[in-house]
Amino acid sequence: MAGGVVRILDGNTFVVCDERGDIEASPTEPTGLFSFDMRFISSWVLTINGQRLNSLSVDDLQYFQSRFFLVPGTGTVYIDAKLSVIRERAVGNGFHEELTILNHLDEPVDLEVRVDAASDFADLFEVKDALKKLGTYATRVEDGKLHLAYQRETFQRETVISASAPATLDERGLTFNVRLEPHATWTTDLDVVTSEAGAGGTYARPKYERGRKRARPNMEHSLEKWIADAPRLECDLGSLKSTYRRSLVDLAALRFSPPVAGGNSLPAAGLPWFMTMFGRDSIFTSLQTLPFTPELAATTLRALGDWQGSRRDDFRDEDPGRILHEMRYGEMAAFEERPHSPYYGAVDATPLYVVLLDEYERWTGDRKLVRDLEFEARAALNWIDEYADLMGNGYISYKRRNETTGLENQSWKDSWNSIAYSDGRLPDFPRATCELQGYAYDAKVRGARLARHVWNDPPYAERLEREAADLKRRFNRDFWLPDRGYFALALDADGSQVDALASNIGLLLWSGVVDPTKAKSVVAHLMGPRLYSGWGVRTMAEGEGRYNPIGYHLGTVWPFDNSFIAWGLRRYGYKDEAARIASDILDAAVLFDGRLPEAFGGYERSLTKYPVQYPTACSPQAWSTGAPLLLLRTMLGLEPIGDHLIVDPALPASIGHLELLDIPGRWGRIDAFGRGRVVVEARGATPRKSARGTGRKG
Amino acid sequence: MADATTRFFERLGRGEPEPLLGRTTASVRLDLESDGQTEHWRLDVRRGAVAVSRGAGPADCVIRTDAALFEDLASGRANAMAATLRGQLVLEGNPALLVRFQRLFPAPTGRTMKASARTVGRRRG
Repeated sequence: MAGGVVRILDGNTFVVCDERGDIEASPTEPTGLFSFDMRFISSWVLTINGQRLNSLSVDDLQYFQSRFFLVPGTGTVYIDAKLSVIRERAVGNGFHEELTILNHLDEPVDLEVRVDAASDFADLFEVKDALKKLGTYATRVEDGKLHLAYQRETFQRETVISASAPATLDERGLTFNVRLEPHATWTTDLDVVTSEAGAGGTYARPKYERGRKRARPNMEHSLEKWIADAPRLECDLGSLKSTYRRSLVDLAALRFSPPVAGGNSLPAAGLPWFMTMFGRDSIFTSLQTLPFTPELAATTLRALGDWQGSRRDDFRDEDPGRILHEMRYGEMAAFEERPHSPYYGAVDATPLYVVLLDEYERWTGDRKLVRDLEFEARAALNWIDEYADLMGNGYISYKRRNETTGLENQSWKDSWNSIAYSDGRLPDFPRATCELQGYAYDAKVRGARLARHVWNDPPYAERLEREAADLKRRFNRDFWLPDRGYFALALDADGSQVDALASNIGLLLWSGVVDPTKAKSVVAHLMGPRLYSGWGVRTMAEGEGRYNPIGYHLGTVWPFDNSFIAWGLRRYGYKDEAARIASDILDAAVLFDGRLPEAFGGYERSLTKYPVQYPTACSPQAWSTGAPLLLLRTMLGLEPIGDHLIVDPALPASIGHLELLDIPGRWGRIDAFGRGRVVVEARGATPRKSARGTGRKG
Repeated sequence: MADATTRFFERLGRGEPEPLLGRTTASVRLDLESDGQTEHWRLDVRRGAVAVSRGAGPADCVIRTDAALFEDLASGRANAMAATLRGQLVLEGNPALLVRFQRLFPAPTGRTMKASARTVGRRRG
C-alpha cells in the first residue's frame, strides 16, 4: 500500500489506516475498522476547509494507540502550515479519537472540519476475495449520533458515531464549524462504537476514554504488568535484549480473549488478519512461551477444550475429539458460506493438544487443569486412532471432507504444493506427513505420563506406551529412506514414500520418534548445505523438484519451524547444532528490528547477506514472535525434571553472558545463567565447543 | 409439537453422566419461543450430572431462541454456533456455557453441504 499502513488493535478489533489516520477502503485496499471479523468502518476521511491533510509523523504509542501529526495541504510543499492537526486514536470496542487543531497565527481563523464516514460491513473473507454483499444497509442520524447499519436476515451489525463538540450530522459524516482565536486550540472526541446482535453482545461505549494512555479498569492486563511478570533477560548482547522485549510486547498485542475464555487470553495467530483462535498456532505459540508466560497455555488448553469436536460434521471437517483449526465470527461463517464456526480441518492440533497439556504440567505443576481436562485429553488421544487413521495403516493422514471450502493440506505446511515427491509430483490424498506421526507418538508417550501420575490409570498408561513403542518401531521402518538417510516427507494414498527432503524431519527430533541410530544422519541433512541456508533450516531442500527459495513452504526459512528443530536437536544431544540455529535465527531477528517475520527467503546467507522477507500480510505472527523465546529456552537447556528446572546452557559465543531471571514454574521462580562458548562461524563450519552454565533457585 | 426437543431433554435428564459437561458446574436455561409463548427448559449441571427441569428461575446462562429453530438444532438440521452468529440464539450470562452445551446437539442430518456460489477459498494473506 502506497501511503503506509498503521495498525492498532485490541483483541480482534483493529484499525488499518494510512499515515494520515484516514481510511479509504477499496477492494484492493484492506483498510478499515474491523471487529469480530467484520469491517465496521470502510471510510473515515478528515478534511479542513475541503482540504485533505498531510502527515508529518506517526507515533505508535502502544499497540492499541497511535498519534498522527498533520498539517493541511497536499503535495510536498505545505501551502497552508498555519495550522497543526493532531489525531490520537485508541482501539477497543470500536475506537476513540481525539482530534485537536492548533492555530499558529496571530489572527482568528474560521474552519469547516469534516469527517466523512461510511461502512461497507464486509466480512474479512469478502475483503480478501472481493465478494458481493447480500444484505441491506441503513443509515440514520438519531439523538445526535450517526448510525451505520447492516442487516441480512437476523444478522445485524451497527456502527454508531458521535462527537463531544457541537457538530452537524448527516448520513455521510460529521461537520464542525470552528472559529479558532489566535494561538488557540480546538478539540473534540470522536467515538466509534461497534455493536452486533447476538454472540458478541452490544457495547455502549468504547473501552478507552479521554485521558489517553489509561485503559478502563476492565482492561485487565496492562502492558507494563505483562512485561514485569515475564522473566527478565540480562545479556552482554544488547540486540538480544531488544529482540526479547520486542517479542514480549508483540505477544501482548497478540493476546486474544475469545468470548468463551472468561476474560483470559490466548495467543491469536497473527496481526491483524488472524486475530482469532487457531488450534495449531495457539498451541505452538503456547509451547514456545511456557517458560515465560504460562497463562497463555492454560487459556489455550481450556478454550480449545471447550470447543473440542463432538460429532461428525463433514462441512466443518469435525470429528469427536478433534481440536479446532480456526474460529471466525463474521457474516460468511454465520451463513455457513465458510465452515469456520469453527472449522476443524487440521490434523496436527489434536495430538499437539495432548503434548501441550503434558508440557504445561511439567512446567507449572498445575495438576488441577490436567484433571479437569482428562476427558478432553482422552478424547484427543482416541481421535488419533479412531478418526485420523484414514488408510487403516496405523498412521495419521488427512483428506478433507468439505471439498469446496475445506483445507487440502491440514498440517502446518498448508499451501497446495507443499507436499511433493523429489521429482515435483504431488501425491494423492489421503496424505500421511511424517511430522504427524511424531506428534502422535509424543502425544501417546505424554498421555501415558499423565495417565500414570495424574489420572491414576496405570493400565491406560501401559496401553499408550505399548502403542507408542509400536508406532515408533513401524515409523522408523516405513518412513525411512535407507539410500538417502532421511525420513520420507509423507506416505501417499498407496502407502508409498513421498521422498522429498524437507524440514519436517527436524520436527521428528522434537517429538522423539527418531530411532537414535538414525539421528546422526538426520542431523547431518538438517545442517547440511541442501537444507541449511546459513540463516536456518529451509522448509524444503535445495535440489528438490519444487524447491524455490521464495516458495511459501518450498524453500523459505520459518523461524517457528527452526525453533522447534532446535528444541529437537537438544533433545537428541546436538547442543552445538541447536546453538547454531539459535544464533543464525537471532542474527536475522536483529535485521528485522527484533520482529521475526513469518518466513524469509531460503537464499544462501553468503549470497544475500540479508534475510529476504517473504511477502506476507501478517506481522507480527504469533509463532514467529514465540521463536526467540523458545530459542532462549533451548540455548539455556531449560528442562523441568520433577520439581526442578535443569539448566544446561550451550550458547553461541557471540552472546557472551546471559541471565534469565525469575523463570516461573512449579519451583516458584528460578534464575538461569550461561556464558556463550559455542563458536558459530559465519557459515560453512560445524559449530564446536560446548558451554557451561549454572542454575540458581531465586 | 417439538418432538426432537423433548427427546433431547429427556435423554439428558435420564441421569446418565454427560462427559461433555464433565468439568461444568452451572445452570443453563433455554427459553424457547413460539406464537408469543415461552417454554422454559432448565439444566442444572454438576460435574457432568445433569438435572432437567422446567423452571424459569435465574441461571448462569440463558439462551433464548425460536422453538422451531431449537427443533432443528436438536435434530441436527441446524448448527448452533452459526445460528448464534446470525443472531438467532440470544445469550445472557456466561458464553462458555453455550459453547459447551451446543456440543450435545447431534451430528448434521438432512442438511446438504452449502457450496455457496460466492465462495472462492483462499487462506493466509
